[in-house]
Amino acid sequence: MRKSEIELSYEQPMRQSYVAILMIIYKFYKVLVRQLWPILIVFLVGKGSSGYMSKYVMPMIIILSVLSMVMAILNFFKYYFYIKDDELHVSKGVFKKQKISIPLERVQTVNFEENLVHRIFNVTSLKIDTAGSQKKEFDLDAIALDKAEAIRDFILKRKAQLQVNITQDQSLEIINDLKVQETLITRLSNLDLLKIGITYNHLRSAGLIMAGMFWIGSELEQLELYDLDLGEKELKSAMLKSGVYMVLFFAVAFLILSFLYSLALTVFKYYNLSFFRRGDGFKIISGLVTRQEFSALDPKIQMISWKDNWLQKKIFGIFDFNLKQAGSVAINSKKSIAIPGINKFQIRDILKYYIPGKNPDEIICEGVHIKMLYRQWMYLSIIFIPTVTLMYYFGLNIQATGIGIFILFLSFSLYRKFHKIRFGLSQNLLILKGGTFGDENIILRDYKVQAVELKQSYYQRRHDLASIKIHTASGNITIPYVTLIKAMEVSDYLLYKVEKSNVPWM
Amino acid sequence: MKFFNDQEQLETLPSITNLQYQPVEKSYLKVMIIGTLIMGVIFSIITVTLYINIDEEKIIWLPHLLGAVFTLIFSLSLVSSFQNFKRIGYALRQRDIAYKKGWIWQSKIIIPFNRIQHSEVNQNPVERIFGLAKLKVFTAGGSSSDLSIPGLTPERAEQLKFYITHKAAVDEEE
Repeated sequence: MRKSEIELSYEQPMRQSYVAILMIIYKFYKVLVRQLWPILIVFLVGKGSSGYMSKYVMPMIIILSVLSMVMAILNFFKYYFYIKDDELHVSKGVFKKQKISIPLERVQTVNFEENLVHRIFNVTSLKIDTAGSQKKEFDLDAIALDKAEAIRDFILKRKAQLQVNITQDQSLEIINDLKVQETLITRLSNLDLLKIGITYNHLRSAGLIMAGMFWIGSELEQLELYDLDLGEKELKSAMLKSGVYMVLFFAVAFLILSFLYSLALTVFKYYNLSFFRRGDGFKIISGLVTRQEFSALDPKIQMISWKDNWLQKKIFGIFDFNLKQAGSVAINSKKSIAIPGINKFQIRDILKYYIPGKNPDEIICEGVHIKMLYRQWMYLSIIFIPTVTLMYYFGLNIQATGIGIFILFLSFSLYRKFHKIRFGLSQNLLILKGGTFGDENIILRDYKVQAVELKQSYYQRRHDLASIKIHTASGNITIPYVTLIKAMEVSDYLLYKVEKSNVPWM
Repeated sequence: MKFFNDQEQLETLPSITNLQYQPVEKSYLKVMIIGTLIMGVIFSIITVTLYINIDEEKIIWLPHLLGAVFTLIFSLSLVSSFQNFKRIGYALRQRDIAYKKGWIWQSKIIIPFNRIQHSEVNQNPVERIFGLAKLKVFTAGGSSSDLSIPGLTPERAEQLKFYITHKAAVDEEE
């Protein structure tokens, strides 16, 4: 086979960009500070009081810094990588030499991540994710951006060629010309970011504040009951009022703070987020200071899900979208890629790519057994009714009423939640819907199932009910409280699909 | 049936309804009981040590309470050893392995052979004394979907392991 010039150039051992030295040092200090921060704080606080600190600790830190610098430089000069014979080779190590080779067809994704330093020097860090459970990693701390992109394109293209070669030995040239197609699905505007920031979980904060207000209010009333001379009553009620105002003030301040915080977080993480369909996968680029690029390939995606909360649903119609990938070693939440601020049309687009020719809306879904709700209500009553009764008995009327209202709210939530659970199984897909005041949707391709588990508590057994727990390589989902017959049917069906399927789940 | 609107004929699907579960070796009950007894011995040692060493009037009730709680836990786990043992069972089918367990909370897990990553046979010291082994089956579904069948004779465990691996390999080829 004739090798092109580019290909030959990758055969030469390459070093990273010089910025890598900076990054290595930075990483070293990050670890150091994380490990030794108590000592550092002692050092910073007590530097005036004790002389031995500056006598011993200071030189130690200086020696450590110099050593780390030297190590970083040595490491940098000993780190080579090259691509030869369709394998990515890395040789590294100063004292302990290490050689790693990764076959290109095992490469799953090539991800970039740029922090501020990277962006100043126009470089990027590069991370290669491989298939299988072996822990073979390839990490570059810094490499010129254009070079990184060239390497990524080369690896992915060569990988595609190799995979075709395995099945049919033909027309290399055609594939060589074939460019990886990239289509933009969505790009978040600043307005989108604002929407995401506004709808970020404030309901929960508001609930907490409400509970706090109830408590403080009742405490203030207690004060009035026990500490009062009759003549001072007006003064005290004024104090009570001002107390309520203070609580209100704090509540508003807290809401504003929570909003600003989540907005800042959103902007940092999702600034200029672009979501692409790329080849047989998805690509996401985002971030204000640290610019990250993720890829998620279809085979590695085990589940997709999208959900909204009440605000998102009622005001903006946006969802948090999630691509749940299989971890190479173990289940890892970092493998789940979140894309906020997606609307239903974009979700339709994504589904068109991920499950072409299928329409999840057409899948007939059904709910779960009403006994689930009864059971949950019963637990709620067992816990709270005695509590509330006792509180009334001891004269804690306001608290009891507060808790009473809270229980009513909880029962209503449970009722909503029960009615939202729906599941359906067809077109080789498993759909699970849920949510309380918002909506949750999970779509799973049936052959991605790893194991099926039927669970029955004593209560469920008495009523011929069961819960189905479906294990996948990116976590479990549970269909609760269905009739035993239905549970068996679903299990039989899923198992049949998995066992019949010869599509690899990853 | 409306629910599954695919081509497959549901009536002909292999069903897990009438699986014949194989019980594990009787001597495994002894292993379970020994485990519970060891726990009981540790509990007793803790309680007795406290009882002897506590002189303070104020907390003299503590070892009594602890003893009561420990006795309760111990007797419960003794009962549950018997009950759990009765309900342990495994079943092999052509393309998957099923395992059931549990007394109050019962569960059945079924793992298709073509989703098994690897499997291994283990023995802890107590099991070794009774000539028993454990078959562990790992999937990519993480620890929650990993399977561990205790109370097998080492030969049976190896036999199962061979069957599983062999079947998984055949499935791969197909």
